[in-house]
Amino acid sequence: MLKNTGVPDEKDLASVTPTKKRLEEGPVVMVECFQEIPCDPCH
Amino acid sequence: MDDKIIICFCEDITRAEVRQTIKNGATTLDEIKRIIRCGMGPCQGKTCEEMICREIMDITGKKKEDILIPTRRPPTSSILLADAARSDNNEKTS
Amino acid sequence: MLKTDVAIVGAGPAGLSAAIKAASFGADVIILERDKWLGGQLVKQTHSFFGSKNEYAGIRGIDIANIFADELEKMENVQIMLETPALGYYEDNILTAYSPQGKMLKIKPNTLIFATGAMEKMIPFENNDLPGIYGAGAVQTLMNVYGVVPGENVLMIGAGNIGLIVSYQLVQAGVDVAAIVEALPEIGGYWVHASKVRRMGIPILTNHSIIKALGKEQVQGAVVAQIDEKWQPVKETAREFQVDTICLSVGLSPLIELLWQSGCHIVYSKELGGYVPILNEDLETTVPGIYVAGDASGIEEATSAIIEGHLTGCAAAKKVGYEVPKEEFIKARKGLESLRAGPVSQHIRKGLSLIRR
Repeated sequence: MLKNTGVPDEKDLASVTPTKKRLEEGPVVMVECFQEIPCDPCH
Repeated sequence: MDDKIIICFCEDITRAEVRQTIKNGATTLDEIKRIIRCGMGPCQGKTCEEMICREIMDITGKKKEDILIPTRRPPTSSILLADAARSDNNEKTS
Repeated sequence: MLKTDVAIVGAGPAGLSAAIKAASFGADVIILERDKWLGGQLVKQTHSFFGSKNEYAGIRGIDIANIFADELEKMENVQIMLETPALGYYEDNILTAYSPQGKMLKIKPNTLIFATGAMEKMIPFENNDLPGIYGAGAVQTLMNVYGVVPGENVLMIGAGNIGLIVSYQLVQAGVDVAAIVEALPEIGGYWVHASKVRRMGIPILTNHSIIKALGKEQVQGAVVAQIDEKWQPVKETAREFQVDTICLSVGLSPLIELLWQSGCHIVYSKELGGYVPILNEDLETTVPGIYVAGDASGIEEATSAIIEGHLTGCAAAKKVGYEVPKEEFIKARKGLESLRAGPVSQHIRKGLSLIRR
């Protein structure tokens, strides 16, 4: 688990992976952003 | 082992000394300070106080909010006695 | 005796933003700072900040300090006193300070903002007084302000944001970090920082604690073991790290000695890092005219310190009679609210709910 080790596992990755439908539509950017932190510059 | 753990770095007081003092009946920060000097060095207890509190809580079962904090008196930073005694530092405030 | 509308103790992010706000509405301001430069802990923060774009997100801490300093330099109603620690606060509302020339200064301010920040906590373990054991903040100052590395191999204790960021900066400075040891079951800092140090090959050992430092004249190693729910070492899990430096990043305590002297109401809050003053929505203590901003009112981070500075700067200027638009207060309070809205700020919200009046 990411919160215990700093390394995302499959479950962590599943939480940010785009839906199957979106993946089938073509290439998509996946942002490594697992946690909601007080940070807004990318919005 | 406790005699190799320092609680008060300014006065070089070990955890063993702090715990023995509490077991001897001194269960407030003020009493402990008066007996073994922890908290009377340059940092004025800012480093050790929380660790002493933990020992008091462990031995007596007291809660954190029941442990009285010593009075914080000026000056809060060290000053030279020569400066404190300078005549131009003794103007009357009123 | 010096008289002023607003006296501010501490020139970190909270104190500087408070000074800029108060002075912008016309108030005369005196800033007391014990260090040789403005910025407080910002000066050693070589990394870009998170937070809101409105509060300098994406800019390095040291650059934010310079932005504030440049702005203050243009203001004629601000007097900055460097290397001048505040010494005491007395019942006749006089603040004393110690000038670099050894003169005892007396200041009578109409309002007072304490932005005194925090100090690093210490923990007990065997041989914890060996040379080579540092606070993580001290190491960050050594490296990023004075250009001195603390050693060659470091063991970091604590996986909060400071522990994670300082570990990263140690590697940037060419120092090996053997591991980051965290007593809690979960990483306390932002996971994005944790992932970054993991990618550099630094292991993060949660549920682990330092048992003792090894060495005679200086640190030569450390023993670390897994701990159970009662914080007791688990048998046969002890392992040794060959390091010459141990870095402690085990939390901060608000620095509030002068507040105790003011007689304001102070309570203990575990969530906020220690003893903290009771404050109203303007961040005013129970003593009218005395305000607190930044870590001194509870441990958070620089962005909230900056906004709290704005709020107290506005409130102090208004208190002494200058006109401050309502919108300024609303903007600052909203900024704080949104900053503290997320799941990582849960403990802050809990702590604050107990100390707001």
